[in-house]
Amino acid sequence: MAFLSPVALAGLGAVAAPVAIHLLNKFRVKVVRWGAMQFLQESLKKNQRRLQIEDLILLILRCLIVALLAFAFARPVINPGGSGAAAAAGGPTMAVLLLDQSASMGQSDGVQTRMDLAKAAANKLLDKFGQGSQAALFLVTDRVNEVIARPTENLALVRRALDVSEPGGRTSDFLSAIRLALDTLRPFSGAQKEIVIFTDGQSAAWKQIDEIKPLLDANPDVRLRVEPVGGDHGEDNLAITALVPENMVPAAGQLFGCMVEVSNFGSVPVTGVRVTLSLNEDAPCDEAVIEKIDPGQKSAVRLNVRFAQAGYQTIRAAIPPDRLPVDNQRAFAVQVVDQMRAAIVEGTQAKTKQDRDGFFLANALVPVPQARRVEYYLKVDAVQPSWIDEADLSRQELIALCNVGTLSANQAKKLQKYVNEGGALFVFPGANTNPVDYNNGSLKDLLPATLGPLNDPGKKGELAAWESRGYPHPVTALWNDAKTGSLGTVRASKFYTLKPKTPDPKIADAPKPLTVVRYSDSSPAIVEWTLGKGRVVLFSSSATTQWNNLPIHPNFVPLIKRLLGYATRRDQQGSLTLQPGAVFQQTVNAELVGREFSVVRPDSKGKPRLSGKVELVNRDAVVRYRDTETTGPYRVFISGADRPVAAFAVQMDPQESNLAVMPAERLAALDNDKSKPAVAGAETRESKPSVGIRREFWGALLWVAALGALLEMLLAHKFSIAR
Amino acid sequence: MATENVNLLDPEAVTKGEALGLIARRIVEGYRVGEHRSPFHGFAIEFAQHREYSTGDDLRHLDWKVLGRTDRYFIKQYEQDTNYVAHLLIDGSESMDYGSGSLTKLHYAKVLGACLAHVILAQRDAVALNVFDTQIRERIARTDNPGKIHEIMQRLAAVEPGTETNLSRAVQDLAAAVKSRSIIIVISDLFGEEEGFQKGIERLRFQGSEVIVFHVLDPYEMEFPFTGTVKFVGLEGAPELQTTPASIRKSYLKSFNDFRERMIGICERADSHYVLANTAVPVGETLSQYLAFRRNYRTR
Repeated sequence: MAFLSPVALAGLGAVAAPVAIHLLNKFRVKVVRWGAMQFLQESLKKNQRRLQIEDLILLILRCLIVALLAFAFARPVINPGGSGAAAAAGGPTMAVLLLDQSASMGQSDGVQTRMDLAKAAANKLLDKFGQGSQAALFLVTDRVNEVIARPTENLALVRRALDVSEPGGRTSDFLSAIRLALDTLRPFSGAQKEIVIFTDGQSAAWKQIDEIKPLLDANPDVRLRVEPVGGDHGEDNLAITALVPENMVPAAGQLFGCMVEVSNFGSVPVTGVRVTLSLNEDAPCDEAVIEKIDPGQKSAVRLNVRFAQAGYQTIRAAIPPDRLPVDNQRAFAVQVVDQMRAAIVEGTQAKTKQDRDGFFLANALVPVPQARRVEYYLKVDAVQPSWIDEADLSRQELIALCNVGTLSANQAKKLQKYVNEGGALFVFPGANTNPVDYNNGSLKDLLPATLGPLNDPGKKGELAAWESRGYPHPVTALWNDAKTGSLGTVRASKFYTLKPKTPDPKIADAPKPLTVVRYSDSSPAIVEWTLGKGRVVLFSSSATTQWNNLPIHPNFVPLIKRLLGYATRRDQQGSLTLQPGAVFQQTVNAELVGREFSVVRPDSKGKPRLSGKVELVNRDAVVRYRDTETTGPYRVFISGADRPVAAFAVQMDPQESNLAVMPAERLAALDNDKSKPAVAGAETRESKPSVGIRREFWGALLWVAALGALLEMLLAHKFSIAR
Repeated sequence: MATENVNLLDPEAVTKGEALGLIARRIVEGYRVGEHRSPFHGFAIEFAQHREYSTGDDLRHLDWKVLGRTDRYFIKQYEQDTNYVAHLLIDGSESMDYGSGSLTKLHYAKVLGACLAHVILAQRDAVALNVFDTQIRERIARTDNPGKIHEIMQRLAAVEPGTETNLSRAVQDLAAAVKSRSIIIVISDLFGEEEGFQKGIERLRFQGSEVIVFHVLDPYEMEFPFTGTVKFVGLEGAPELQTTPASIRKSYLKSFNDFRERMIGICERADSHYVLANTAVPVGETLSQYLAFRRNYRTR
């Protein structure tokens, strides 16, 4: 005999309670001086023995009741060794069901999804459980959702939890789930302990399969089985694995480019893939057709949208639906600006426009004819360094220092504050540049690199060229594709050698300089870093054609636009694109505190759902939204408003689109006790002899205890009457 | 007036003679408001009955008027024409020192005795006081002098609980000492030898005395309401007993009630009055109830 809940045996200590009460009563004696002793003596003489026997009977009965209750709660079983076949023949099982909730479980065979199959298999397993069996249910993605954290005998509850489970947008990791399941089963003894995994066997979820085996070896009393659902091989799948906005400023009335990457995870080539791009869940506004994608390959197309108005907007790319619909679309959100201001600080005052330090930069920033500049979103002013002292820098989205000499301490301080608060700063050196001041003076803490010696290959009739391929930085990554041209034809006759600063290892979030583009000799041509909330971009050469040909290079305008977009976007993309389940949080206008907000979700068919109130967090009005398991675009509206106050998108992990499965043999090898037949096997249940069946009899003990209690009451009543 | 402030059953007051006297007087006066006849006029010079003349009868008692009217000889019979003597026999043993409250049975017996003495002396009859435990240890000889009331009260108040009870010896000693027909008033819890008590009572009755037994009992003795575990320390030298009273209550009550039944039986057989004096009931109430009963009894 063993016990399923041996901890309850500690309750046997309570047997001492009736004895203790008895003794306590003995010690709590009241003393009375009494005259009528003769009657007492007479009564005691007559009843002493009977009283002792009656008291003893009641004491024994009470102790017995307490002991029976303790035994019943400890859930004794007969023949505890009768696991396996015995359990299959009706013995209790203590199981933790791990249900794969990753996005790949949404794969359909046309009738049922893999999640449906997994739920059916889990229900079938529950049907086979013997009397007294218990089950817990964990939903597994890259985090474990303990829906039913501890095994329960209420299997109907487990079935209900199974019924409402739906695939999410995350990937899976079974190692941590198995660890947690083992911890859950550890306190139990006596019953057959099992971890049953219902999964499509996607390889991505079993990256750490080799670490699972040692875990099971350390817990030999727990059996782990994998119940694969779906096919035993991966199915074809076409997915949008990336939707990347180009590094441009999203501005009202302007075209905005996105790169859509489509991957073919199937085993056959796919042709004629139509890719569409839509704005704010409207009809597609741009589309392209990818002619062919070979198996295991991916292809990218560039699509554009034009924003009609400023504010938060969502962009969704889509391909025709297949059996895994969740990855046939991908979205992101942007905050579209209406107007931006930029100031170009020029170090010299030239007589002609063309000779000004910022002439080319100003034209690159506003690449439209003079007549249309009024309606263009970006307004550029050319100013002198003294302007920095007087101006309110916070009104500028971009400040560019072109050939600026030594700056005063006040000017440097204002620039530092401007960048820290989110401003973008471009720095072009020139003839007025004082490297000592840049490196050790007022701009020392602002720049991502120090200025080395001034290289002058032009003197020798030579020119330094930019590298032509292999741009790791997102701003220049566009030119990795030969179709978009090349930066390799940029030449410089004079430039400073840039030495990117080394991040301070003692400071965890110290800014790290990134090289945007290099010269062909690998020395950096442009270096940038994020400082506070803003960004600083340092060029090695001037913004004029005196030192290089960049200002007249065909890619100068796109490079400047991308740098502007990159520097002014800051971390917007990170905060507006979430993983499934992450909490969306956005600061809004302080006047909105306490107002209700609604969210138009990907699955709400365009209808807003009331979702909460704007909270006050650290003196900021904050919209906070947690229900983000579904992938797609979300738009947040304050009740009564037409335009969203915030927007964001939830993107699934692209590796979930790869439906390649772990070989069945490897999953089967995880079963650490194949000698024991599966509980789920009905045929096993019928064919095995019913030897060594484990039986719980706590119910019978409870009945006996109840009868004992009844008997005690009757006897106590009878004895009290007799006395 | 100081007497107004005396608590009639204050244990402190009962131990002081003057206070005891005041208590007794107040109780008795309370009872006698509107009363003109004493219930103890049993031996007054009142006509009792006629009987036929027989040879040897004293002709002085011949009823000449009846002879004249009917020509028959009848002798007039009278009650005894002398004042009676009431002997108060008060139990001063240790068992009387029990009280579930602050008032013990002995306190109660003292007040009851004082009241009776007051009543008897007030109607010019004689009273004698006897306090006993193993034997009669306190005695005041018969007196019909009302001026002696103070001494009686003082002596009564000074009574302290003694040792064991020997009721039968006390009754028999008294029977030996009483020469004439008297009223014997026993105030006791009657814990002791029953057979000796019965013989003593019978002897007193045989001598022509009237016996009244006031059985003083505490309500706890009659109901035994103790709970939990109780150690009973025996008065009068009985050994200690520790028990759970709830478990023997029924048996105890049966024994106790049997004892009371036996006491009542002894009194009835001896044609004596048995009066339960429950210490939870005020002395005045106990006394007035008995006196009312006695008057009715005589009227029948």
